[in-house]
Amino acid sequence: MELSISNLSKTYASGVVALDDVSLDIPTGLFGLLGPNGAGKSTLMRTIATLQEADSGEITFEGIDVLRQKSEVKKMLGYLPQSFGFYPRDTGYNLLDHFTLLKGVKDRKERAAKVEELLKRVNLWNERKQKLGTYSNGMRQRFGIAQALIGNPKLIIVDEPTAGLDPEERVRFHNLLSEIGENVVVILSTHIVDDVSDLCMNMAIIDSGKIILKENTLGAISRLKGKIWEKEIPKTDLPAYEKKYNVISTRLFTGTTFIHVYSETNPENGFSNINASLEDVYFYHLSRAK
Amino acid sequence: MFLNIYLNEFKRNLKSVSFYIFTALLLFGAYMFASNLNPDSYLMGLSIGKEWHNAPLLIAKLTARFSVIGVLFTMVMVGRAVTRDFAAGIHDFFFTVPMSKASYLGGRFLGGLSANFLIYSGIAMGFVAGCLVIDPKYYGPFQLSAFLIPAVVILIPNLLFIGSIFFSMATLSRKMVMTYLAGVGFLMIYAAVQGGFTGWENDTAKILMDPFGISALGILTKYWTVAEINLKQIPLETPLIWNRIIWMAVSLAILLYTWKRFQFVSVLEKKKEKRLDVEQIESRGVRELGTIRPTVIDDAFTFHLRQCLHLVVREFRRIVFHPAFLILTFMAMSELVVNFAANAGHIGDNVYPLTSRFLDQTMHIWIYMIPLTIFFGGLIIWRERDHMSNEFYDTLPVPDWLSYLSKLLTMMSIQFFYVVLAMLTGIITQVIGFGYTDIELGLYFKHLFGITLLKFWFLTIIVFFIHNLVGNKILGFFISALYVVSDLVIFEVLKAENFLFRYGQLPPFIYSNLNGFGHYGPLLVWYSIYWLLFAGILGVLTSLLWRRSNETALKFRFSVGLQKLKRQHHWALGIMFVLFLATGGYISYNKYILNQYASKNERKELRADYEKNYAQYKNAPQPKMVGVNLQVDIFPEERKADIKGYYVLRNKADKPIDKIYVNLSDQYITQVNRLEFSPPAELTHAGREYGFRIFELQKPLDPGSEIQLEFDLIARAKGFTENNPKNELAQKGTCILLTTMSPDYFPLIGYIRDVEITKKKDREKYGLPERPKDPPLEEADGSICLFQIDLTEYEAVISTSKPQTVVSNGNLFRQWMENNRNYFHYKSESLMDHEFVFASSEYEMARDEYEGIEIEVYYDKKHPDNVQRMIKGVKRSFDYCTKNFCSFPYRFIRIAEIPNYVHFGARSQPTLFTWRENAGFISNLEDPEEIDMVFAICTHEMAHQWWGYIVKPAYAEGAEVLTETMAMYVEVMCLEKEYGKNISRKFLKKEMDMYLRKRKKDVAGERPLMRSYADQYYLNYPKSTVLMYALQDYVGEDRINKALREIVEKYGHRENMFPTSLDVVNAFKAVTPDSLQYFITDLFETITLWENKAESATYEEMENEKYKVNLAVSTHKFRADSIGNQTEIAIEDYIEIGVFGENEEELYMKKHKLIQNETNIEIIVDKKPIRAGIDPYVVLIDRDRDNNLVEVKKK
Repeated sequence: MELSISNLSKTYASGVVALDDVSLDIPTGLFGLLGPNGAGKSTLMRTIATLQEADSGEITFEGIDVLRQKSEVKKMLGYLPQSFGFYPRDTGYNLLDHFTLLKGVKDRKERAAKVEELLKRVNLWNERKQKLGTYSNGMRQRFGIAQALIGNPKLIIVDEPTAGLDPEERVRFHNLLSEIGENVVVILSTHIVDDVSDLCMNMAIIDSGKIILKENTLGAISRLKGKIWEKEIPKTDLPAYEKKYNVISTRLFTGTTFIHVYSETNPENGFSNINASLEDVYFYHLSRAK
Repeated sequence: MFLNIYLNEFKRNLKSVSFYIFTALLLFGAYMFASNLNPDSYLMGLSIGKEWHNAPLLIAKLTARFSVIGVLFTMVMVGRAVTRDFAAGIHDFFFTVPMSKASYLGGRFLGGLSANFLIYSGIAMGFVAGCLVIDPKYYGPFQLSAFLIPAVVILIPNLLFIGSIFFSMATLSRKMVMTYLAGVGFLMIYAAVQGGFTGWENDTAKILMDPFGISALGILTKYWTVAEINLKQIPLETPLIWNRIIWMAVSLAILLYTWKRFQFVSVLEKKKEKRLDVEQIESRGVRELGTIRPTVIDDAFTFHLRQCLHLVVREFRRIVFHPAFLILTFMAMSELVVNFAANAGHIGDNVYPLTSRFLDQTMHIWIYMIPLTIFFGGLIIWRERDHMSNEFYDTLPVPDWLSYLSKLLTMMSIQFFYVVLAMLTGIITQVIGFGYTDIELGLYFKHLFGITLLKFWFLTIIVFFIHNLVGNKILGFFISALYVVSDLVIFEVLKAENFLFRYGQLPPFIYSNLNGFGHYGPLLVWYSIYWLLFAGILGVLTSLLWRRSNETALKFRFSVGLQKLKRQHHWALGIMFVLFLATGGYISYNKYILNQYASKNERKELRADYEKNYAQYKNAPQPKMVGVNLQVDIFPEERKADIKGYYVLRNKADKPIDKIYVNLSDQYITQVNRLEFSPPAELTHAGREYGFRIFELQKPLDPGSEIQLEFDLIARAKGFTENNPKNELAQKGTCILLTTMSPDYFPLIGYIRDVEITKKKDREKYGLPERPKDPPLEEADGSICLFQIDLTEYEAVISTSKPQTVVSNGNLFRQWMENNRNYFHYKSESLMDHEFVFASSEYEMARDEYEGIEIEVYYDKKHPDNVQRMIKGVKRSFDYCTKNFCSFPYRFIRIAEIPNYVHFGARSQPTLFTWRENAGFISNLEDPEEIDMVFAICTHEMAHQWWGYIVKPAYAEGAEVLTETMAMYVEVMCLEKEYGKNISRKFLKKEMDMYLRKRKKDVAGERPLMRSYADQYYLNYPKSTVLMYALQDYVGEDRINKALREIVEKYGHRENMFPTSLDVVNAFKAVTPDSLQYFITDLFETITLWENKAESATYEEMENEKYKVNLAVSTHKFRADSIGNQTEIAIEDYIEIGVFGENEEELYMKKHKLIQNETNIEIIVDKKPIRAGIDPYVVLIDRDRDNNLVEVKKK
């Protein structure tokens, strides 16, 4: 089971190039799609989820032409959109029951069992009688994933699910995602590096509509091993350092500026070698793409 | 700060596209109004008659109406002024800037309002543009004040009011949806203003309660003449000023409240919902649940239908509990009840609560259904997108059609529910409100579900089509509204009439209690099928293009639609399209081939051509009808009549006649088997206009000789058609006429004057020479009758199908049955005017004998209630006319009820009245305080046997004085004698009011009664009543009747000598004392009005227990010209002075000669005076009748 995307391109009417010849093979398991805001992640997610048309290219999944056989895709799709809302006066239970019916579960008992199973799984069983309008962000996201899990989805797409969640909720959400069956394709799109490093075996980085990296997560990190150097500098010196070194990221820590530099060799000058993280991978590839 | 915000908001509006669209719409509206030369067409209840197209009052009225319809504009420009910030989420930015609530709210509100005000400049531009394209004689000088005064007095307060409500609702709730609700509320108030007040008697209350000043403009100017409308600015009178002050105060109060309640906070505090605290969540921790259990997924078609039902039920529940739906439905149902209950019929009497009467009212719920369908249709379509849950729904594994169908069915079931409610409302009103139990359930079903609901559904389907295609909610609303408006403009205002091109509308039909839907049934059914097929095509297309993705571009949606296009779609679309074309073809076949469809303009053109080609024969002597012998076989079920027979024509002129002109329209007679003369004559010309034929006689017809015109014709209504559906041939209630007016079912001899077009604008349009409508009195030829009518013998054998009876004129000589058909042999005993009726229906008959005449009423068995009143009317009128004019020459009077297909209420033919079912047969006259209009109409029609048949007027202006004026005179006198003065005064009051209101509408211009034109109904009917009553009140009934008797003696039953109104006026003068000669001039020869007023009255008790009343009155007398320019003339008039005591007892009532405008009168009365005044019963025409009496105060 593999989702294969080849030469997918999309340009909006406004002239913005959202996808530029994207080719990706996504195997079973959690797959992270990492990229800054506006990189084309959501366009890609929506296109796979039958919500948008592509200008050119192919997507196939399980022998199905995703771009043309939309109703076939929908039968095996679980989708959590980037931003969404619900009719605020429904209760969690009622709405999930509603979706369960619409996803094709006919038998009433079967439906009740399914709703209960999913609500318990996403830890909303106790809140099932509350109105959706009163749910917190995290609860809404968990409800959303419950919705995506109805039926027997073989392709699950979650688009920026952790944006705006507090750390606790994020952890809880990560746990939930990691539990999702390993026999299905799960695509997680995010701009938060930790989401991918916590969860995904495989990943890709997308920027300005182009895939700039597709690799096994651990492999990508190990390839940078020993090549990332860190130094604390006065903020005013930053332009000088940027000229001299391949600065991939700067960050502040308790008010002091730290820079990370990519270098095959030791740049000396007070730099110290650190363990490369996925964040470094991300910034390294982004800076290279520019 | 305020100025900053104000200017910012104002400029933002000026930059928006909507500003220009709105201005353009108003410009267009005003342009359409001002440039419209058709006085029959209405724009928003306003039409232009003779007044200038840019008359100040018209501008003001249109401005007022546009300000109300402009709620949409105000909604966008003012309602959104603040919610915009919330919708965009930038409110926090504004709230953190240091500024006061007043400048933020005030700036936004006034900025929006100013821009909103500015778009109304479109009206001024529209008027100017509209006037530029029409002839300068139709408009007056441009006056800036005519625009500025309404702008200040009407527009600004209205916008303030409308704007404050929208602004308040939107700002306090921070939701745009609340402005929609406010909009709905608005339509309600407007509907209440338009309809709800009609029952109110109190004008001041009406004026004050109307927040838009529309009532004020109407009421304060109801008696204005054309001249006043042209020249006067709108009346800034006290009630209007108070109205404006009150509603401005209300607006300010709303704004103050808004200001007080508004908070500069980011999120409104809501009532706390129960919420689990964080710790509780925390404690649950994370558990391992393993893999997800697989489920059974169903994909069967039947299961999809169940999903569909689930969606419909879910959404249906939300809509019917939506406040807007509840309010609007409640409003519509109350309006139904109110209108139904208050529906007094247009002849002013109460009507029994028949099911069909209620159903007539349900046409009005269309007005509610339009916004309801557009609003809720949009709501349903956009539901998921509005909640941002569309991406869930769009990726559901349900078929695409299900998404569309569930929404469509939701809207359709809401409309179904609505119609069921309407039906229950009707039944409950009938049963509980009126205790009326004759509920016609079948009729309810046919009408409400067969016609009303179907039209609603058609609207839904196109609204869904539009919304889906446009792909933007607001634009969808806008285009849907535009669609409805353009439909109205094209078909209602511009009067396009081809229903083959009017989507989703069924042609108008007339329902009759006698005939049911009758021949309109197939018409309605076929048009329903036609539009149903079209709607089906729209539905399939909508389904194919139904949006289930984020793509809005049509390019993608078409390509997706093409992907979806399967074989079954091809078939469905193909079959529906073919059937649609076939149905359209079948309708066209019926319309254009079986029935020659002629548009209104084509019919006018035909009339114009008739005049152009044949007016040359106008004065050619023609032989007169002296014998009519007919054999008419009516086949009502087949809508067919075989018409055979002959006319005996005699040359009554003094010269031989060599050519005879015969008219026989091919509109009605579908087959002419025979139409020839004996001895034979050669047909030398056959024209298409009214079948004008010229026969040349082989041997000229000498004076005194006779010739026969023999004919064998078939009239048959084939198929169906919406225009000229041949209502005369009805399955139940056939009524065909041999009439002098039109050669429809029988041939007529000679050029027919009645075919000629009389409307001035139409004559111009078709290039006909200008002419007065009727010849001036001075040129009148006393030997030419107004009616081209001959005195003839009449004999007819008429047959009809078994259950039916035929009613005709003359003596029913014999009646028998043969071949399962009913035969009737009618024969005149003396000469009759050739106006013959052949009415066939399943009649019941009531008979009475009175003074040697037989009175028979033929009525439908459902309508027996007023038959006795009709018989009474015949008797009283018979008494009055035989006593005062001359004996009645016939032994019969028959009344035949006919279906609702005719325009007139009742019509008098010799010995026979035809009477429309709804104009008297279903009236409820049980209240003795009300005027018995059935009795009144009956006395009127009976009087026409004398005034119209025994005495016929000459062809000249003022001819109706000898017909309608006299009939109205007999009517009011009979009413007074039978029911007393209270009733006759009530009647006179209504008549005077009608005259004063209608005179400004007269495009031809008002004329003295003596010179009135035949179509000046407001003169010939209501004004005649008032004048004749005043005349007999002043001169004396006996003297007037003596004069009339002389006219009858001189002109009655004559064939070559006809009186004009001048003869009548002279006869009146002859019986009038010198001191009152002026009064005849006032009433008949001029247009005269009085302004009588009681200024003050006091009394003092005298020693002999009498009371001395001191009364000050003023009187002014005016002569008016054709457009109502008044010139005051010197007063030297007898006018009644009256003093009333307790219980309206007349203590003093005498005509005084007044020679000054102001007079003080001293009167001594026996009892304590309560009220006193001048012309207390308002016998003289007076535009302000309420100030004729004052309270008498103690000195």
